[in-house]
Amino acid sequence: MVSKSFGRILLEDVVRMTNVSQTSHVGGCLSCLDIVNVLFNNVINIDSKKPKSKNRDRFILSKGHTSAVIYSALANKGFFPVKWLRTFFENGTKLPGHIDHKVPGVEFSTGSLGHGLSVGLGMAMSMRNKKIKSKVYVLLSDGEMNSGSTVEAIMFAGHHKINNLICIVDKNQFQALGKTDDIINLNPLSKKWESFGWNAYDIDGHNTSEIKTALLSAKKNSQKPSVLVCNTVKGKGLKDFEGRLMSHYRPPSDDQLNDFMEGLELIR
Amino acid sequence: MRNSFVENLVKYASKKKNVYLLTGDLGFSVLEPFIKKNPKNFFNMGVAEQNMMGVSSGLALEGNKVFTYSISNFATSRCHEQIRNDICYHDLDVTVVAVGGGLPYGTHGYTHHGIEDITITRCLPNMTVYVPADRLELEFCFNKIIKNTSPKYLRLAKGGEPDLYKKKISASGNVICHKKLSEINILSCGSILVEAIDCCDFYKEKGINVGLFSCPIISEETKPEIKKLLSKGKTFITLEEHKKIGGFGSYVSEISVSLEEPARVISCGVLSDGYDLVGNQKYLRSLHGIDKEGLVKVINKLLK
Repeated sequence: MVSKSFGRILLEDVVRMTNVSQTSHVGGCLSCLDIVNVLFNNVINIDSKKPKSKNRDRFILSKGHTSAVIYSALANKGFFPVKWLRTFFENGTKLPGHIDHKVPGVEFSTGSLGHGLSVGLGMAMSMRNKKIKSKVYVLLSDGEMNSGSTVEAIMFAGHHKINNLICIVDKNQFQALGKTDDIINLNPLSKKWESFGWNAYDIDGHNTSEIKTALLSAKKNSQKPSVLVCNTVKGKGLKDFEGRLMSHYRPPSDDQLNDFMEGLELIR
Repeated sequence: MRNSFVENLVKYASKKKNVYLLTGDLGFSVLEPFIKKNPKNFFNMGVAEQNMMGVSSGLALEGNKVFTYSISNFATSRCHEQIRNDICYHDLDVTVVAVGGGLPYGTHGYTHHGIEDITITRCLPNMTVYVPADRLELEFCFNKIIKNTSPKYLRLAKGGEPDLYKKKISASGNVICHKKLSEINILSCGSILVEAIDCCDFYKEKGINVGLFSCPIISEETKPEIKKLLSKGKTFITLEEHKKIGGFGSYVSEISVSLEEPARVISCGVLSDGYDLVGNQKYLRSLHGIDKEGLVKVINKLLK
């Protein structure tokens, strides 16, 4: 039996978790899934046996509503039992809908947008002072680029050249009530980051090779903080959900789940 | 009081490497002693309080003891969600330090009146609120702050507050007794203690004892001490330079109603319908009836 790839496991988990719990945000999970796949499988230095190691990389999910994909990544990296994923969003669950620091492997709770970058920035500042060589990764949505607090953090990190901070923007072009371009136009997004003193990569957020190359390059940059502006598709990989606003709200139905699994040739 | 805070902080930081001070672009001629001695652990975060609170959380997560500094409303209202979610929910070792608590910036207008800060901080999880009355109460609080690794709000007045103690405070708990328990008592919170002392002295000259206790620490830990006082006395006047809604008076009332026989609690604080009055601290204390004369009016009524 051929073992499934990490990306495939994430994909199955996310669609199943949102179907079983009948909860929202599958679209944003799928838009950043390839990023999470590369990050957790190839780049980030974390170890479930030493979850508090001083030299670990730190990861903060600032778009906390897409917790399902990170819970799946952490469970499959051994931070907690995979069976917990079945309790996602349930009464009394250990896995709240918005990502929570009480879950093993989760550094920080978010859910209100615009918080994660500042916290990652503070971690990076301390690590730099203590000469810890690890990196801080923060995954943001494009919607939370609206937040003043995010811009405050971008300006400060650029000014102080916090070079151990790597930010990834999941630019799926949607926020809660519509297209980001229509609500507050963010373009040209990577140029804006650059103007605040960041090293920016504008890439295809579903091309794992591009993601990996950009992340490894960002790790080597010793002068500035880095950002990957990842151009993605909301609901990527799930028929009827791709590029649609409703993928922020509506969970996959049982039929949609079955179609999806059939498509993956996974019906057992 | 703000200079005393920095003196205490510099002294503490001289023994520790993990003390950080962040400011929201405030503290001219106040913070320099810390900056001079700890340049790598000081950051001016700019006029960006939300980021300041998030950064302080990140620093604290890495094992540091963090102090943030700003004016009352900028330090609390403007970035309340960061204090709630980032600092308090994660139970982090961050002390939010505010100057201008109460009405010391009274002439600057409503934007600078720190009169809702206790309400919005004391309700947060894991939070302890410190409201010292003078530099010796500040030292008393600071010695507790350095041992407390959970979130803290330190509410300072401004500067130039009179010394209200002759020597270092040696109270074993969180409540400091000035005049022993009597029929009528004042529970005071913060620099307004000076008015309560004057009031008690006024009655002492008339041969009437009014009890007086200073309560610079609002927390779960202080509750048993307040409860004990309330269960032993009959009438308590709470005094604060803060709105009556949700502040120290509310805190005491909440404790009182949990008693089988609640004490009578009379709340003296900033009046809700006079929140936008402008003037210096003395003038505003008088308008809100929280100066010595205001207290005398309340007590005279009780004595009738």
